Amino acid sequence: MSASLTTQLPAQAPRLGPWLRRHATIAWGGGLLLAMLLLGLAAPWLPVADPTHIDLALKLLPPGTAHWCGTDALGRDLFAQVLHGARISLLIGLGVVVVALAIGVPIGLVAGYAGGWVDGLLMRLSDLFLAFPPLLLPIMLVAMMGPGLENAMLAVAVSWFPWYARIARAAAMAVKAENYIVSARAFGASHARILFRHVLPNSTTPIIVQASLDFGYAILTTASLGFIGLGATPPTPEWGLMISNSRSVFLEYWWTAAFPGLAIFLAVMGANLLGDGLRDWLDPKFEERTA
Amino acid sequence: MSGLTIAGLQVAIGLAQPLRDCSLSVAPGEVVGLVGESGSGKSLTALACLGLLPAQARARGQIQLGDTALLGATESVWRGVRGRRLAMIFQNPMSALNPFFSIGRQLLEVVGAHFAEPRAALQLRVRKALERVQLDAGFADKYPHQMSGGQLQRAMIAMALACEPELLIADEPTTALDVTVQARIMRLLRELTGQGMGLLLISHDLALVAQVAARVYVMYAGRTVETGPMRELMGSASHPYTANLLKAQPRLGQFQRRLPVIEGQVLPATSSPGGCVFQSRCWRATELCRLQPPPALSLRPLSRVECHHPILPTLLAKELEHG
Repeated sequence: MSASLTTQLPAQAPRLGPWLRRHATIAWGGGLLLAMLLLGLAAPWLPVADPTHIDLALKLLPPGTAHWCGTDALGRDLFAQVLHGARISLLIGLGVVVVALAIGVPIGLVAGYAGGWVDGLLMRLSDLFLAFPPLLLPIMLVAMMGPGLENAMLAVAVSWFPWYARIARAAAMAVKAENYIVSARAFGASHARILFRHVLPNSTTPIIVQASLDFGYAILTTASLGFIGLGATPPTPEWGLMISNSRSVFLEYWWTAAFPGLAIFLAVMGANLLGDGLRDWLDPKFEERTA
Repeated sequence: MSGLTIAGLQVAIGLAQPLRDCSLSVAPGEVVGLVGESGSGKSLTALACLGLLPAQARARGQIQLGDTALLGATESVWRGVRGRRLAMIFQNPMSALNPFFSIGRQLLEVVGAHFAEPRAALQLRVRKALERVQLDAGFADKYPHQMSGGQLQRAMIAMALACEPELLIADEPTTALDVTVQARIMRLLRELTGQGMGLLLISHDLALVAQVAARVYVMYAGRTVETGPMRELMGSASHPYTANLLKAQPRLGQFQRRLPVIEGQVLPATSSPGGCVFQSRCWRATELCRLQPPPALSLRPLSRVECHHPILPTLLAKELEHG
């Protein structure tokens, strides 16, 4: 008893190693994504083939020592394509989530904080975007703006922002009732300052968790758009587009679809693990107490 | 006229009338208490002074700080007043600070919002404010969860003092704290007033208010029913409610199996009585009290009581008996 009274409090910054061991889900998910992103970014300097180099003499070769993942119908090296695709697909995931956050979070925060008719107006407008089936709205938007990677990303982001608006609104409504908001008002803070200095930081937890979970779906959805020819345009080595290109041949030449598919699977799983781990860590109800 | 003056303040929220008629004043440098039981309208009075009443509340009457009329003022007038000229500290310091930022950062933000000065000057103000509440400079880097309740309330007081306001409203500042910490916070508050800053101390604890306040207002069912210098009021209250409240205080060294209680319930905020708000619980009530609102009497200098049948000061009572 007396020993425990005299022990020093632990140092304030937790060391990374033990922390990662305790939060294995975050470590695995984050590690997977980070590794893929680094490989993708380093791809141009790695000793792999040019992903856009066409050599019909080498078409549809099975995986082997020369071409680790085989080649596609145009003789392009699949491993090189998957590797280069990592950069594109992960940046797509990031881009979609960031744009959706940038639209949705301010709307939700203002709606939740202001309440009343402002809330009604903003949220009903957001709900309009939820009235369409999930993939139909991006398809419509891309059809309007023209196919292309940027347009596809924008379209997916626009069709997703209402989810962030809803989460941000709920968080803002909960934070608004806190004592320190009244206190900040009593000390003369303006509404804008309260919104961005007090409400936003204290609402971030559910938003971060949702964003990291959506990261995987963003890759998946953009890949879907690529698959139906509305996303990335050839010869961009985008995973969805690669699967789309293999459509006519993959029943006989399985590797043309399997390796891009595996890459999508790994990226989505990494994002989901990270999101799950973040939720467990950031949500105090999940936090394990150490003695 | 400087200091804070509230005259005939009424607040209605829907059909309820939680503040029926509140009048009080705090002169510069004066420490004034405002006591009453839960739901008597103490906190609502404080919120009205800062313009922070709930959106659906309707307020009438007058609130004046110095030359500025506060009730009905525009948002920009309010923002210049809140925190700068009129500061408030709250009952629960543990939840009154943003858990996301360090104490120093939050203090800096408050002074930064009210003074257009270079950062170094603002930081000096923060350091001075922390010094005045006897927190050493290291606390500027701490986060609310790393501090105790007493330390947090000190930080809140520092925040309130940082802009050198004319008046500090303390709404139950020690209710959430231990008794020993309570005493230290009260001592601190007493030391900090008297240099021009007035203090309106709101509490349900008459004994606590008696330690520091020179004058006190007693609130009941949304009315300030009695006011007077603290000592006189403690010695001989004129309003039956105040008298009962004093009787209900436990006394050290005096064993009582049961404390006296005031029978009955507070008048609900939704009812509008024709007569006195206290008559249903008052042992001195007569037919008159039921029918007519009581007059405001001044039985002694500086005092005021709203009662048809006030308990007269002994001297005056004797004179009346003889005359």
